[in-house]
Amino acid sequence: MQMLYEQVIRATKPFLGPVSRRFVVRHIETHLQKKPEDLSLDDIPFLAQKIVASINAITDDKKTISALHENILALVRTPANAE
Amino acid sequence: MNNLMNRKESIILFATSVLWVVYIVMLFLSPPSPGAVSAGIVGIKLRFLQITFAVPYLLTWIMALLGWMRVSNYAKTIAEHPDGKGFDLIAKGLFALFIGILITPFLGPLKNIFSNIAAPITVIQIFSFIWFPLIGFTFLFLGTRRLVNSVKVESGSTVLHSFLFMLPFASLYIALIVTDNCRQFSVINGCTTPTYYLSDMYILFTIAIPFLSAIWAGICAILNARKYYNGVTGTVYREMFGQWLKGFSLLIAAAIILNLLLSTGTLRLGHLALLPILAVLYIFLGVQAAGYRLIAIGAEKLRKIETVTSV
Repeated sequence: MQMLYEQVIRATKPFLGPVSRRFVVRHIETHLQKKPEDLSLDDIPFLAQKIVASINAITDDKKTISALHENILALVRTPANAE
Repeated sequence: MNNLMNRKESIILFATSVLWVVYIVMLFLSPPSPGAVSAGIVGIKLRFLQITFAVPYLLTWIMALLGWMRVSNYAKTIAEHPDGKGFDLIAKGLFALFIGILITPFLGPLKNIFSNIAAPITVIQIFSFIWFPLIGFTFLFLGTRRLVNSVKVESGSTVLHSFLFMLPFASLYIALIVTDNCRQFSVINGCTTPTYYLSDMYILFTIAIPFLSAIWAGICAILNARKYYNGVTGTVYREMFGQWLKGFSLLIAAAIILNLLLSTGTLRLGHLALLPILAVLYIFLGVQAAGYRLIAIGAEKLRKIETVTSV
């Protein structure tokens, strides 16, 4: 099973492409003050909110922003993660 | 764009503007070139023409400077990552192109002021039209190839495609050189001054082949950048990179055409109708400046993705 932060990176990849890893790691370290490996499911809603706020600053495409938000939040509902 | 400018950028921009004033002073101190005199362009008419060229030059210098600085900043932001090395090489290429477009205009008035050494200055002028783009485009080619490798896109037929794109430019360029009766040392066939001051062998090995290599590297750079754009994922990233790519393609295309026009004998250009030639030169100077501007804006947006963290 992939580590949770790797799953977040995969969820953002369709939107951020080659910068997704750097982007996600930076947001985990800045906002949660954690190592990416220590990311937990409880952190996901807050992280999703922060990532969306940053994306809001660089694009006006509401559809993209909402899809990105949904992709990250979906990780909480993934049965394998919920177990 | 102005509100995004930092102190270092402002200082470099100021220095460039000072250089432009020096260029204007040199233009006004220099006597008219033999080509201009034979075309009847003297006095007020000449000064007016010089100013109409000097203004787009300033615009192009400023845009080129911003393009280089923004890409350089972006490359520094991602220096430790695989795409960082690619953008660093691209920044070096843009710097070489900037230095080329900065130095080359000075050589024209310099040649007229020091007419006793016009021959070596002409050779340097033609070399600068060719060697700076060769160095710049080579770096752009190497940088974009790194980008392509960083996303593991298949690196198939770039070479073949580039040769196909290059064929019309190469044919036109060779035809312009071969049909130039004023190209060598001797002042014959009614030529006021030779175009190159060089023998055919030197023209071939130090001008024609390097120039064609520069065109080839430039076209390969565009094809590589497009391949990277098509191969990379991420809707937001592609939107930012797409803007950068438009500028990049415009810049290289305009630089190739401008250098093609300018490096094949300004004397011969003088024999053609003045207004259409000026219009073509202004258009391509404008396109080049627009290309640099899009590169600067695109690079700034790419840098923003790498640095943004909401509060």
